[in-house]
Amino acid sequence: MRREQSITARQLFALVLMTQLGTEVLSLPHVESGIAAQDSWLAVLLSGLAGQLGILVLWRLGSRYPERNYFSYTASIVGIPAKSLINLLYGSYYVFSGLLLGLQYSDILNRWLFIYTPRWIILLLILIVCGFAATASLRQLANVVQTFILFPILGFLLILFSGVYGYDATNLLPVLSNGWSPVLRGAYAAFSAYVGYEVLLYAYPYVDGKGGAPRILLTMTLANGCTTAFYVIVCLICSTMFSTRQLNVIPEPIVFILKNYRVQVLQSIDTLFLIFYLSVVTATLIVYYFLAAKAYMNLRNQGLGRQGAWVWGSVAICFVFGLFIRKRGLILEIASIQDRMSVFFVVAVPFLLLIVAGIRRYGGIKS
Amino acid sequence: MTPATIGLEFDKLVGEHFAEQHDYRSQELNLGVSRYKIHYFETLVDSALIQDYILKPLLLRPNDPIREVVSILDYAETDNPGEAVQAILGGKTVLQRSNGDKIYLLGTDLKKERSINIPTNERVLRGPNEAFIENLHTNINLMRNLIPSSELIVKMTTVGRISRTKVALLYIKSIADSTFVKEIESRLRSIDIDYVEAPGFIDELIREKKFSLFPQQLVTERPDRARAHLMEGKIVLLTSGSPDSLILPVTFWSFLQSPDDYQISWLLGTIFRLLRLCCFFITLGLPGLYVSVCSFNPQLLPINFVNTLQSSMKYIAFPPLLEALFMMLLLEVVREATVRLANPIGQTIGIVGGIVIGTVVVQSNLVSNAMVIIVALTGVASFIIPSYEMSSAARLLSYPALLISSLLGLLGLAFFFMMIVIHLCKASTLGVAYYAPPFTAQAAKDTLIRAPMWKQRERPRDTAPSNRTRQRNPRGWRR
Repeated sequence: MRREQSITARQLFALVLMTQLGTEVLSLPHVESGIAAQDSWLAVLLSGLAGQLGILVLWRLGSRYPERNYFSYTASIVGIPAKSLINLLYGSYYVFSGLLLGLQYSDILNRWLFIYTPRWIILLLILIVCGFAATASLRQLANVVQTFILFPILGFLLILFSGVYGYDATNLLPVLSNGWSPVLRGAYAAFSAYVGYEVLLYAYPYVDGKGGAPRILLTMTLANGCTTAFYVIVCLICSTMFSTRQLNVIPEPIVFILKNYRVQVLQSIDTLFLIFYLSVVTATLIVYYFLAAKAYMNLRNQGLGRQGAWVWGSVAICFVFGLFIRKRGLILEIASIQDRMSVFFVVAVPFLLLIVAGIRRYGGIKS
Repeated sequence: MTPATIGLEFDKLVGEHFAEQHDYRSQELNLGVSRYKIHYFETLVDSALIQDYILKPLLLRPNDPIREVVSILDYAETDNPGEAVQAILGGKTVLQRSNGDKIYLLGTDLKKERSINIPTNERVLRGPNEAFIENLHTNINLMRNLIPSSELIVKMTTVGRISRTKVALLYIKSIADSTFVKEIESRLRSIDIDYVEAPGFIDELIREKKFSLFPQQLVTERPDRARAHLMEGKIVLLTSGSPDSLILPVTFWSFLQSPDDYQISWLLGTIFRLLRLCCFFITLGLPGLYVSVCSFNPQLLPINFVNTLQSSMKYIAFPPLLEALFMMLLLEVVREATVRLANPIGQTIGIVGGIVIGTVVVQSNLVSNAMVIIVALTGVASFIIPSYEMSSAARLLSYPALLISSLLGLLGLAFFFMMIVIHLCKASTLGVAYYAPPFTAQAAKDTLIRAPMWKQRERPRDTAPSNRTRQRNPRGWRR
């Protein structure tokens, strides 16, 4: 296998931020308001803090093995057969998540913008772009993602400026009217929106040496902080613009707000935003397919297959499944399955591995 | 080999190679105790030189050693007949002394070259007005004059089995990455081809990515530009017979830099640099954007503007895609015609193509007003990009952009731009990434903007990895 080139801390930041942001920004206020009502921003904030804990786990695990990536060092924690199983599961998880995200966004585009364009064409194009990019090396990938980061910034500014008029802060009151339990449930629901920082599992050994482990943690925290801020502000804007009852019936309130807001030379900002947001979605997808290919390639110690073959294979599978999944209800069902899966893969497995690694070390077994 | 066999062998080789050549001359001279034989091509040598500096001294001192007699600086001896034959072809006069064991190669080649002109393809307002010419020696002379330092290394190789084109490889010893130099040298050596249309063939034969519209080597005819790149650790290839030099490895941003930028205030330089970047995007995407907004997302535009557009498109029979294709094709035709035509007629083409066709096409309702504006703007914008290769690439890429956005609207355009970004990120020359996002203070300094000179303290990391300090204290007068 080719040795990866190193990436800078800034590139890590871009990778994490862009992988964390996904389609959830659009639907989060709607989902949250169904659970936590006017306290959705609090739930999202809590969820971001929980994400920070997850980052700590991943970081601790990565700093134990600063020379190798996650898909190869698991062998020294749980042995080679278990490693292969874990990698297989991870690869499938990423392909599955990729499929879901592609479906979700092509569905959104289909509903809001390109009503007459067949959905499979949109999906096909997204997948082709992602496959083309995911065959690159980590550094090239980071360059792509770093370039795309312009667009979420622009999108964020659009959201921010569209929220200038017409908000009503009283919508946020009363705070914690039903106690903490809906907020905690909301935080759990928002958890999947933060998934994406697990890029660190693979990228850890390739981040530039300057500053070492603390700098990596700082970068990760910063990226997670930015994502949290983005989500919280989006939730605040939506909750102040709409009442809870309104939010419950609008699946993508952000698009709705942007549709209503216009400047002199641009009549429909939502179109622009959805197009900009395409870059965020593709960045996430690119990282997913890349990670999937890397997981599969590490099935065997000496490497298995070529990255290009794995990437295009996963893309083809996603496209074929995408052809069959057409109902929106089915996509939502898949999304809820994926939410549970991501808790398992992003938090549970690394946490278990960390514990096992710790036990083996203190037990005196060579790790 | 004994002296006699060398002479015989040489005679045989000469007979083999030059028997049919009508401009080949060989003469025997009996002077003093020895017999001399000289060989040359009368079309390649300066006969006055032979007369004054070879024959005359020989007549006076026929028995002395040749080295002392002939007064020619370019003097060499060999006992290899093959080399001597090659030297005759290279414009040298070959002198043989009977019973001597050496063949003497004397440089008497006729120098025919034009004088140094102003650059025709890379005009600047401020800056030196010298351009390379076809003669390799003159070009190296220009470079050596610009960098009078022993750090400037010139290495010569020949490429092409028959053409034997001379290629000079220039770099700054203390700055350039030696692995690049070695790699390029080995790539040049490995070229096995009958003749070289320099530098185009060399560019193609040593490039890495085979299918890319984007140029991977910067072609320039300006010595000052070549020097600027040399000082960043890059390598310059000069070829005999061509006024163009190749610079590599370059990044995407090199194609947006113009020598002007460094002669004027850095603020102006930055603004012009950004203007060029904008024009790059306009060239790539404007026709596609127009078509997609017209046919897919007119809701983006204010209603009054849509009405204006509508009124200009009312009587047009064709869809915007065909209009755009027609106009863009027309622009390409006019461009190509002006390049090919002789200078005085060239301006006529401008008038016929630009004004007559442009106006009539609108008046006869074949193409809408707005489309003419769009295509003209695209064309003019593409000519702002300082590299001909890059501007052509951008113009050609606007066709796929147009096609995909006529199929999928803004979505297609977004996909197109993403593909371009990904393609650029994946490309590299000699391991140097072709494009890297310029969003850090260090990376933006001479890419996105033209930072003030005193801020550009370090050379780019990619091409000058070891020796990076460009300036110590550039403004020592400041306390």
